[in-house]
Amino acid sequence: MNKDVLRFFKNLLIFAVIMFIVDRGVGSILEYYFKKQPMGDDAAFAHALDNPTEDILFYGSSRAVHTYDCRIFTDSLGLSAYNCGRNASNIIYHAAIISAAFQKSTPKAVVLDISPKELSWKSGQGGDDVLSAMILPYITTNKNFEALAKELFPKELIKAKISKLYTYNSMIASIIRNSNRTHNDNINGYQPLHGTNVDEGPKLVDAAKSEVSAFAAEKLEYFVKTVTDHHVPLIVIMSPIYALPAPPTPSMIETKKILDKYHVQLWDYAFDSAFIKKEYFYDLVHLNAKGGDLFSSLIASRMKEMGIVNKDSVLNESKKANELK
Amino acid sequence: MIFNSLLFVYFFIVVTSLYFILKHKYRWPLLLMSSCYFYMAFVPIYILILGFTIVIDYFAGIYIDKNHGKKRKWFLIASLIANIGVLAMFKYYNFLNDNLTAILGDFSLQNPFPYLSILLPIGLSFHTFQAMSYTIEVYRGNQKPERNFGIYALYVMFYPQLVAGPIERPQNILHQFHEKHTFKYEQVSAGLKIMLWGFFKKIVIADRLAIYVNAVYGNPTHHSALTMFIATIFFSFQLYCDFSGYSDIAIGAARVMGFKLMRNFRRPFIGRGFADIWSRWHLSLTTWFRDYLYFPLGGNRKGVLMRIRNLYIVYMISGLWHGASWNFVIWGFLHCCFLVLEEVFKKPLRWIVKALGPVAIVFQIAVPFTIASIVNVFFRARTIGDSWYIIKSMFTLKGHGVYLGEPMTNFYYCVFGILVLYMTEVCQEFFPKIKLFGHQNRVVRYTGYALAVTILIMIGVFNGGQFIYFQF
Repeated sequence: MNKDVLRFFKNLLIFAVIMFIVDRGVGSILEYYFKKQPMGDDAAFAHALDNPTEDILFYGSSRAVHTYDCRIFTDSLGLSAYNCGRNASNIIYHAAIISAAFQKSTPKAVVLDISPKELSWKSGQGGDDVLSAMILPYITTNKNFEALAKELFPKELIKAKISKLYTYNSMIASIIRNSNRTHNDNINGYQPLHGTNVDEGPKLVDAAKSEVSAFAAEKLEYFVKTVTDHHVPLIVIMSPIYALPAPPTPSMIETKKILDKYHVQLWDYAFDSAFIKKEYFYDLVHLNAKGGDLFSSLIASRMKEMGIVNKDSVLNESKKANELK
Repeated sequence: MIFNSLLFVYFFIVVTSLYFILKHKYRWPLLLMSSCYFYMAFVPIYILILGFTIVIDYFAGIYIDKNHGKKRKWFLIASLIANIGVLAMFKYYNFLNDNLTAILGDFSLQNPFPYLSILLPIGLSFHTFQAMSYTIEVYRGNQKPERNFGIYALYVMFYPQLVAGPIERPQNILHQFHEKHTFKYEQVSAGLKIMLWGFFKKIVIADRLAIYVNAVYGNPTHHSALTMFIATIFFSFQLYCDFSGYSDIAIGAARVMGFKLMRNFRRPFIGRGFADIWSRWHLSLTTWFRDYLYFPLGGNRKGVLMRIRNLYIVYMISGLWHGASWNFVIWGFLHCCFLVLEEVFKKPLRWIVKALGPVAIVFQIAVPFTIASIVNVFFRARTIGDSWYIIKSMFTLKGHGVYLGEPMTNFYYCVFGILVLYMTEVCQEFFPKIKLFGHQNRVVRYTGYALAVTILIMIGVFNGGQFIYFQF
């Protein structure tokens, strides 16, 4: 064989060994600090995944994260609460983590916040990049996530298994930031947004054409079934958006069908005129702290009025006790 | 097939390995077949368009060489018509048609020509220009016509530079297809280093900046003046890293096999003034226009006014070369305006530079770069209206603070990427002895490679982002 070819392969091998060591070494350091983050999205997520023992658990996308202030629910209902929502997530992600809610204890109520286009998710169109980034660090420890990754992004799963560094792609800045922050803007998973960026009146949003993903619908059903099978009251809420009232989207119609099947209520505030005011919105789809406070208070008092937490939880507990007997 | 995909990595390894394993006489067929496969990975049917111009230009080259006098000219004209015709049909038909509709509409008349829903073949402007340079050079007597049809086809289709250049000249590349290249460690290693830097620019810097720029330009009404300005500056870096990243990967991939492609960029953002920036930007295109349009128009030889006229023609056509839209024409026109202004105010600018002393270099680099970035809004925005709105927004005190992106950490990666780019290019320009990839010491060199790959994996954007210049 040519001398140059031998030299090339020898040096390539040396470089591959160096890269393997760097990958495992730096990857392990990142893994350590990733899991040790005292605050931030990942820390809240770790709690939602490992230890959600609170009485009321909220699930949803950034719309849930920036809306449900757990302190208001605790004050109003006298129960602990945790916002397990995650920015840029959707029902596929919520379905993957819901079983964790029943591992160590049983919550007294579960609230799922959905958007009018929740089921119009499409594989390969944005969204799943974010989803894969969230899930990859957990694929070695969480079977649900591994199965989900295998189904949705098998290539990403292979890459993450080959390279430990790749698993933490784009995370180093947030790890450093969260490790050095003194102010925690994440209050039991709730992240308030301050001020408003809305400078125009509400417009009509045309979402009627977006198709329903059978996969997303299946995941919603799985979520609903998991909660109702544990006899825990489930409330599905469509929190307000800054838009003019529109006819139901295909996603909303399908959601309603699934919820009806399991006798779960949908509290639809999507186009509630009481909320469509600039001062309540940070942007067109997220309530700000003021809007969030108001909406949380409204939901808490509605839960209280309807006795959802107290009555049902007592009922459920006695049901469960009977079943055990 | 795009360079920043796993498929390309496999393709590159297989083709390069086979290239060195096969005997010399089988190499060009291998490269031609691989290039066809590479091109057909986009829209297979469009290879027929490429085939059409290849056949025309191949025979045109031979007949130009065989004939004398006016006949030669006719064969050249036939070749140019075929090439420009294809370009006009696929790239400019709808643009011209839309304008015709607008003009006829003013006179309450209907446009009889239909709108054609045709997809622009990838890299059409690049390979058309490369094909045209062949027949022009044969006509000028600078290049012997290529008798081997396969090698001529490879000249147009050579996969590394097929879809986004560099736009090669026949004198530089054609003879290389006849030469036997052996596996040389230094050459393979140099090629891979160039490729690594190209991937770094594309995946770590350009695609990262794209996330921010797309978010801001996608919703210009929602962002403040400062945010629009940051996104505009970021876009210039994105454009440069995207395109020069592609060129580096192309040059590197060819170098591994022993081919030397022409350089396409020479650190343009360190250019002092507009003329200097343009003498460093997209060299294969700027020299193409210089050789085949500016010089034939008279270049600098017919006085200042004619020179200015020629510059405007070249820059506006260059704008139109980029895209069939008035946005690109205005983009070319404005760049030319600043170039001319710089020329006109040459003397006062020299005095200012003298007065500022050593600090002047910062202004010489920063001011033209900032102005060029603002002009680039016409390159990025969808319509003239959008471009104007964005430029206006930048110069008003539109509030809402600064948008740092979602997630916010994305912004830090953007800044980090730009810093790495600037530091590297400043070192290459002003301190060429400081080298990381090319350092004498093996430990330093390998540390450099490992660092680049680690950063690439850690903060690269692996969403298979398309190259901006593919659309041209």
